[in-house]
Amino acid sequence: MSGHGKSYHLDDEILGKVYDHTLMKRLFGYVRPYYAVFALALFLVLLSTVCFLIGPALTGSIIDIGIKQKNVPALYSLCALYLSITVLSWLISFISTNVLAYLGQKIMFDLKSRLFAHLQNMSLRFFDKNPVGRLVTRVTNDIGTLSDLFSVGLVTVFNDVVMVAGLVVVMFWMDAYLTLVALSIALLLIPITIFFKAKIRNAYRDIRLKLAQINAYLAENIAGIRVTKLFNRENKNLELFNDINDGHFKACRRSIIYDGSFVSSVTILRAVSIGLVIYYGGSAVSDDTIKLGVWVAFLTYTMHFFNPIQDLADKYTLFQAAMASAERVFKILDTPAEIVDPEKPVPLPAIRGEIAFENVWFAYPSDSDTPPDARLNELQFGQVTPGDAQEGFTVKDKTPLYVLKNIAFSVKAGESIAIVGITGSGKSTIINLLSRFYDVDKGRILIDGIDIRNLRQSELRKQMGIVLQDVFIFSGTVLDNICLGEKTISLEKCREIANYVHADTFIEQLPNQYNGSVAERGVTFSTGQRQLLSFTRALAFAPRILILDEATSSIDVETESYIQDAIKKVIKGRTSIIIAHRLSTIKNVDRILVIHHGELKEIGTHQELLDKQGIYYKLYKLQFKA
Amino acid sequence: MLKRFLIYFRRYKAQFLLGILFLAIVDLIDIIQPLIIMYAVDDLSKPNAPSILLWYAIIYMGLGVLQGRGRFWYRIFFFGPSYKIARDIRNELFSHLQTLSSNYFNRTYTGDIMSRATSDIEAVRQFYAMGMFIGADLIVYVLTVPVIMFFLNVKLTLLSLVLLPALPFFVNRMGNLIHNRFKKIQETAAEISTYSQENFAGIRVVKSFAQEENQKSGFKQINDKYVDQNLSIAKVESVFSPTLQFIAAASVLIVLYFGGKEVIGGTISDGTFVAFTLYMGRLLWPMMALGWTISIFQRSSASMQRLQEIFGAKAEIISPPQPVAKKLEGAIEFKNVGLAYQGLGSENTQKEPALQGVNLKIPAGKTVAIMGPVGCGKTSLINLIPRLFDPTEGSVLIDGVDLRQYDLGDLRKQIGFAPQDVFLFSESIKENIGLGIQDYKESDIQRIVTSAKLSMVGADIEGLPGKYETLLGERGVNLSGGQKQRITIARALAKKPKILILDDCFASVDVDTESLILDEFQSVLPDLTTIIISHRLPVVKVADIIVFMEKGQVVETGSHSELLARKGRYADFYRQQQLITDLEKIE
Repeated sequence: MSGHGKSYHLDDEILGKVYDHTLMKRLFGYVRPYYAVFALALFLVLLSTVCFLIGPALTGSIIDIGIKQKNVPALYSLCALYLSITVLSWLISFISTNVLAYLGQKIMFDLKSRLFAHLQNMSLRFFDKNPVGRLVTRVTNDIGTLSDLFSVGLVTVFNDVVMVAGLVVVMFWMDAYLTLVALSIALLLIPITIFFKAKIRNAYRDIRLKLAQINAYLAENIAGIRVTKLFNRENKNLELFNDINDGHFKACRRSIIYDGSFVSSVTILRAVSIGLVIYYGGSAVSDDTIKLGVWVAFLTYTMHFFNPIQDLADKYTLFQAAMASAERVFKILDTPAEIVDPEKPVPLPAIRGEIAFENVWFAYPSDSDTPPDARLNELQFGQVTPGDAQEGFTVKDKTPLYVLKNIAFSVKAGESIAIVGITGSGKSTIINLLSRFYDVDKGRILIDGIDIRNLRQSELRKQMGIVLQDVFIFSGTVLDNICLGEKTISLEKCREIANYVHADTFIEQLPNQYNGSVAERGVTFSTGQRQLLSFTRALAFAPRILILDEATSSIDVETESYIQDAIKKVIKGRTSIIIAHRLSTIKNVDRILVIHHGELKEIGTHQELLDKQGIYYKLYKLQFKA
Repeated sequence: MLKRFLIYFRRYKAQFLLGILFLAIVDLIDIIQPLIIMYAVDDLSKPNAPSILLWYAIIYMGLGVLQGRGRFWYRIFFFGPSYKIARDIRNELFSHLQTLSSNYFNRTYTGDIMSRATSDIEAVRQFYAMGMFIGADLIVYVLTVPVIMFFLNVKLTLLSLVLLPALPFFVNRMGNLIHNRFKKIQETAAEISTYSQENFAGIRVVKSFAQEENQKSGFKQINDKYVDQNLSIAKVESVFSPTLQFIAAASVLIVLYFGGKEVIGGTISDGTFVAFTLYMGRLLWPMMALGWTISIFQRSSASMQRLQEIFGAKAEIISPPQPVAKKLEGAIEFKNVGLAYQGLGSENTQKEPALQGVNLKIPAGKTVAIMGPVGCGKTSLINLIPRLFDPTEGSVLIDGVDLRQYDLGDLRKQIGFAPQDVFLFSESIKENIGLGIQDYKESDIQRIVTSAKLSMVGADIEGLPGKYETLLGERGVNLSGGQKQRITIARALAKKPKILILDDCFASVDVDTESLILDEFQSVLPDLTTIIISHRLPVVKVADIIVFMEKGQVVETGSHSELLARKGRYADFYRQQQLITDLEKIE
């Protein structure tokens, strides 16, 4: 593979043991709700093994009792017994297939829902670090592998082990000497297995790694397809992809060679065992030391003896993959949500909407340190580029890089304030902290006098309407995008609000209007349209506190004047915090906060600040000097 | 669809045939083995039984060694090409995806494409690996075992095979059921991956609106559906395989009963009887295998169908067979251009077309600013120039030649485009700026550095530890939004384009820098045709021509001063902007 491929190495480097006690124990935790079902499955497996083992013995009896002694009634009744066992086998298979599928699916459902729910509780910091593609793989592929483990793997292994044990017991019971002769060879399997184990494991690890690279590369390329076309990069991309793809193929080929060698060895061992039974057993029959039927049954058992062992070897890779998947899934489940609800949250009834920042300090974690505005930009189009989530230059020294330093201010209920400052000054961070996407490092933030860390996050956020600079459009209808699944919001209400913010004009031009579907990430909408939609979305939830994060930065003057008009109505009687570069927004607010390099430098009305001829004055000049 | 399966089969025909040969050898040995046991049983009563048995044992072992080697080789020859086919399909899919036009990607979910490229390809591979292998196995057994049995005893053979004709009907019916249900399962799987992908990408919105619980229940719903569908397929399978096994076991029973009576009656030997039971056991496998093959084939054909849907998507925008070869001057003309987007899925077109009757001439070497309210079609208009979309009406010409007559690659090579949405590859900065360059010569590096400097991102890059070799993305460094935007501008410049298009790509760049970049461009690249979409004032300053658009139409064209003098829509727009400024000043 070429050097470029290096950047597509992913997280999937967990190797996966075949059996890991702690992991197994945890996985079994998910079986617990279905213990009865699981026990039933095991019982059925046991039963079917017994049925299977009876078959050859019964054939032997038919030979010895029925045929050799020319006893037709015995032949008749033994055949009847055989028939009943066959019917029983059918029934057991029928039930156990359904039971196993149920078990596997239920466990998969639980794990998947659990994982998804856990991810919903993770803080943004987590999502900054983990690319979307990776998380999707966890929820789909890894859980799928685990589901295989439960629906096929575990029970097959149990089945195989029971089968081997059953065979050994039955064979010893029939003839100990012959058993020793036949199975002495089987002991050779142990060194052979050990020899191939390591090689097969490495090959399979490689396969998974390469597959992860394929997925990552594919995701990135679909996201960037337009750029690829514009820059005629198709051939080079194809070359890179071919490289990765070929690497995957080569790893697969290695696995076939080892696999094949193992299968080949087992086949040879089996033939040798059977040859021994033919010679020693046959000689014994001709000496009349054992009966013909016993010998025939013994031959059949020897033939079957190697099947479960072969089968166990096949399941080996399944187990390895499952352990690796389990490790990755548990790694996510074990990552605690950094921002959690308090044990006894203070109930938050209808709030007045007072906000207070008390000496707040904040630094983004050093492993994803980045200016907040860059972070926001990152999310702008919700791209799935695997590389896009972890951010920032690596910070060499350990001193935290404070994005906010000792910020203190308060907003009265119903008051509207604007936060201004140059790019990277920390404006957006204030909003990130207020909505508790991140927790403060020092100081505290109060709403109606209550520290927001004492509130339930959902209650806190329900009080806020947030219009993000970056607008994320979900697939679904326009209405879905406004209500986000909140069924209490009626179509009428949506229309009303859309009308309010002038989003109705373009929505009503869509083929099915509010029920019209939007393309993935709203690609068919212009930036301005997306923002109008987001505006409608925020207002639909009738928030007490309204937050606008640079929402007007790429809307043209005319649309902005529409929005200004709406803002004027909306902020009335509602606590509002607005971040805007545009001074037209600012004229509607009561007070302006000027943030500069993470510090609160100036507070006051537009005129007061202009008179002061400080930073605000310069910002103002900067914006309008053209 | 069968044709498509055949195409790949033919590609590796020799290997598959070798695989089948080895498989046949292995199977024939397997089929001979009961005969050895038959002779062994029948020779038991001979006086020199032990030495005869020793020979049988040695022959059995020898054949076993051959069989072991054969198993190794047929694996190589069956599974090897199956992986090659998977690789080929994946490459072809990738290469086909790259030819599809933007319309396709607007209509299709990324997660859906991803799941087709991975799990569906794997299901197709299974057809060539397990499906064909088991199928061939099946054929060998079905063709040989009954023949041998006939030789041993005709009557017993006929009796034991009496149940078999019921099979094809049963298998066919079950196969259809499995096929349909499996297709639904695959669709739901894609739905799950799309749902979670969206949720994670939009997690900030989800959290902002405290929609976690709704999202969870939405996810549970799909997940529930998935479970139900999987259980419904299990239901079919739970009847299918056991019934096949039952038929096989019942056949064994027939042998035991009737064969037993024959042995008692002395018509057949002990050995023949034993051989018969062993052969029935060997028919059990192909009967089960029949079920598997059918289900594998059903699954893989459902998957192939899903892949076919991608392969069937036509590249809408392609080069003409005999393109006009020409170095561009950069004069652009829109003649009566209309554009209507295709909607997602079944919904066809928007009521209002994105562009309508656009007529516009941009002389070579001029700088044009396109302005207008949200959704007026600015981006749609410029997307037509590098043929990201083709107009649904009228034509776009460069240097008097319809765009559709140029070679697509040639055309795009001469157009520098910095789109609104920043997209950088997880590669080095050098490779991101020099996108499309195959081998980097000294002159290429120079150009990359110059472009970066022109775009005011050179100093930022020099400040990074790896400079231009710095990797972007997960394993590397990530830049701020402004830096990223400036890299995309540098990327557009590094092509040495004749036409430069900047689609609102200064949003994260401050006004001063924007101004400086634009000034620089004008002085360094005077004969470059430049088209800029921006709402900000520096653009007005540098533009020779201003194009004002509304509702997909060009309303006014002219220089800033001309348009102001005309006192039309642009003048209104501009005055509005000034009015706001004045208002601000008064307060």
